[in-house]
Amino acid sequence: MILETAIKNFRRHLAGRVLYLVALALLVMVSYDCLTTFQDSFISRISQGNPALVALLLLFFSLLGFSVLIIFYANRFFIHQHRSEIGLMIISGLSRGQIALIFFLETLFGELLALGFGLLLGLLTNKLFAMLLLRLMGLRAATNHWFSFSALWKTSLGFLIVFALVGIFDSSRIFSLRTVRLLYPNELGDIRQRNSWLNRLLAWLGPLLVIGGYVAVFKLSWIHFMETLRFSDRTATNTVLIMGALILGIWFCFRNTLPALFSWLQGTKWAYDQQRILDLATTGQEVQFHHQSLTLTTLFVTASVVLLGFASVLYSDGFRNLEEEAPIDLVADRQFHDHVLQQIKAKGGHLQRLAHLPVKIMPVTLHGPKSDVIMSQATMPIEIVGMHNYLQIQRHQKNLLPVILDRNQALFISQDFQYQHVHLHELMRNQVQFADGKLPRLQIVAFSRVYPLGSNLFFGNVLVVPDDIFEQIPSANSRVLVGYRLKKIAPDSPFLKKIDDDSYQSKASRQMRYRHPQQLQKAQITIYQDVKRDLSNAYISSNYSVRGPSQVLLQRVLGAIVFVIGLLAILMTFAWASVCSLRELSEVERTRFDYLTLTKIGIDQHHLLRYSNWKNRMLFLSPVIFGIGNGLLVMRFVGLYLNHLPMKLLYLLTAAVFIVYWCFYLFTSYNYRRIIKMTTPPDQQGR
Amino acid sequence: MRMVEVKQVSKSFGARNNLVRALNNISFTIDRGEFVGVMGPSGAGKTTLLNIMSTIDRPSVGRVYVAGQEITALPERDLATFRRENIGFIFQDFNLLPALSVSENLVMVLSMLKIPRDEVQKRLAYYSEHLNLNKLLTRYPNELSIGQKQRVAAARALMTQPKILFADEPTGSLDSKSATELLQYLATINLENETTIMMVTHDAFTASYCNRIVFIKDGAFYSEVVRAGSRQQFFNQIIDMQAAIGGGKISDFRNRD
Repeated sequence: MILETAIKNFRRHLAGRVLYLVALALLVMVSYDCLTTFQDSFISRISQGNPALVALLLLFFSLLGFSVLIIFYANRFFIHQHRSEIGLMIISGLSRGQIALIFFLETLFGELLALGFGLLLGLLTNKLFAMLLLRLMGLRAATNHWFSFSALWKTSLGFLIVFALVGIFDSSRIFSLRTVRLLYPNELGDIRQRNSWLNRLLAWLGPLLVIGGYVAVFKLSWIHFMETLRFSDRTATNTVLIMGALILGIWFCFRNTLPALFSWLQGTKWAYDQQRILDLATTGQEVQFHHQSLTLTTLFVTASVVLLGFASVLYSDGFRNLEEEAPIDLVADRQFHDHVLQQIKAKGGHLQRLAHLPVKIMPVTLHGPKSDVIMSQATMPIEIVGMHNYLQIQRHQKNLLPVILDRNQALFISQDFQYQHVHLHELMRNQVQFADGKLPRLQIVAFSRVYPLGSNLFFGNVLVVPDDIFEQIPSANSRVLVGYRLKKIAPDSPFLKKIDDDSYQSKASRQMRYRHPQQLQKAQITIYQDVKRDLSNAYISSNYSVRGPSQVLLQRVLGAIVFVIGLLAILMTFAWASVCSLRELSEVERTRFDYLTLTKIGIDQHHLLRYSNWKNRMLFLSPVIFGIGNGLLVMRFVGLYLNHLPMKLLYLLTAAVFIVYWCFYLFTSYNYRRIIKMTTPPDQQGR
Repeated sequence: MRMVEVKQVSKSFGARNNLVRALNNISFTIDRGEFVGVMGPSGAGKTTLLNIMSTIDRPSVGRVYVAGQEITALPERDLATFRRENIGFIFQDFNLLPALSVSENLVMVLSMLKIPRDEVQKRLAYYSEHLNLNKLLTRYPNELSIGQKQRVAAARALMTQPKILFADEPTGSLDSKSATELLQYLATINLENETTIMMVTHDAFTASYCNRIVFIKDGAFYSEVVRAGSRQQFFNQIIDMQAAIGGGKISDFRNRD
């Protein structure tokens, strides 16, 4: 009988839970795809055991964790839906254990259906999943795998553990339910608008915490913590405090502020002249009743927007960085190039010399708007190349900015400039003064992020100057870089990877000790070679660089991370929207007889449906809009530091998030109206 | 033999400023085989009292003994067994399980008690016959009229052959014909099977089927009326008491006579 009751309950509620089960199936599908792809030997071989693939494993466990949360919440609404039945079973003499078993079986049928369907979808989409991942990782290889017994049972086991875990939570909840509350539900009545000082305080505290959190986000340099991730740092405490304040603020807003505001609105005379305002005001108790899920919706939407933002930044910026890299296979300082060349030739590699680039270094001062911000100090070291040599390199490196410099003009090359939040036109109004007082001031007339022969062999900022100026600059600490084209060795071969790794070792890297007093002439540059790397020193560069391995590694890591983050955000959006839909549909079981009563006392059904639409829209979309606002604000803030943040792409993805929630709202609203319309007095139903 | 004993029970809801005392130190007893009605004005605490006596709720203070056991001290796991073996409940709004057919609603608890199938079928046949449910057994709750639903609810409450049957406004949603049929049936099982019944009602006609009416007001025992003569006389006594409880003291009402 327990089984029979569970099956019948499951069948009765199936229609309203379809989207939730589809969302669950999608989580299973992606989990299976992640494991299969991670375990596939072919993919592992062609990606050369790239550590980025571990991201797939992280995604698998993240999805399991997220599944616990959404199933937990969905079951909470199911229990809410079943409360009078549970009460009846208790008073009929069924033990709590038997009731928990009925409920567990009922939910398990749906979960098993989703698991089976998800695994089937996983088998069907596995090849597509792997091909998309490989494409983003820059691997052009066809993969034909789709079935993995190991992934199949591991995914099944993982989700069965999730189902069991949530089953235990649900059982403990059923054991703690009070019978009288189940049989005489009056939840909204219990939540009285307490006019206590605490309630009023929290109602004010909510928006204050949110606004304070936003202000703190802009004022405190928590971004430093995000860069270093050092928890011992003071900024870590600030970051945690800001995030905590924001979450608490959002919670109080839904729990206290909005209900208090709506309650106040209900008492105002003018609300009765504005039907929409009155409709809004009457949703106050619903908002308070669901404040927990509304807060979570806001947080999940924020997280989705931020994740999509980071995915789009990584995709656009990371791949632009890849494109900006010099398409020159090997660059070496003269001092080292014999040693490297010998190694490559010994391995059968063929080298073709392309161009050489003399480089000099000198302290400079900028004069002009925001020069102190650009330099970050009183003076700055700058590496200098001549225009003729720059143009020579341009023949082999087409992504270099084409520029012809007149007398006393200079091209400024920097990748750090974009983080300084200075407009380009302000940079162009700056002049460069060299430490050598005999040299004339140069006007910066152009800016580029692309370094000749690649960025690895430079400390930071580079200046391209007219040849006559370059000739006058002292040759202390000068060097010559030589670029080569490399043939007969694959760019991602282990041999080149080893050379690349070696180029970052202490023996092959250069360090610059720079002292920058207020007076330019007293600024000193000392370059150390072959010393133990001092991580606190910001000025480090390589003596030689091979392009292939780091390019390949970067592309694969970027591809995998963008893929994983984007997928997580999309799944999170879809799955949580389905839980919101369940919440509203579980509510209609409680409210439909209220609507019926209102119809009986003469209120037009058209008006009731309009009110239900309004209420659904308010509960469904207000936390979504709040979350989107939060997410965009966070990304906009990050954008202050990343001028290149592709906000257009982020806006597009944010619109996609909103559309998903909007579609779920339409589905929910349609079903809600359908149930209200179907509700008739029992004696009017067919016998 | 004493079936129920309520000893100095109080029940409060809310806290501090919002404290509402639903029951205030109420005590009374019900003997085996009695058909007792509980009446009182709205908010007097009738349903709260019924909930406490039927194990749905617990008192803030006091003790309740049902069938010789102190139910207010029983842990939840023992309460389930106690309910199965001793208590039946009829609700005003029936509370049938919508996913199950009428016959499934009736046998569900017995199936889980692992009572022999023959015995379950025997009881099903008996109560279906007596409550005129034979043609409804395959239907679902949403296919029944209100009167039919209440008959099913009554049959379900009786299927476990409880020692005491609690009924909360069982005729509240019924038309007069259905109400009379149900009340006559309750009176019959009270007489024939000696099933103790406690019924909360606000309707004097419904209450006239009882043997004794306990009147409560403001959560405390107010008075009681015991049936001595015909049902008509008992009905008049109830009406008189209702008039008295509506305002003033009962002595005031008597003085006016």
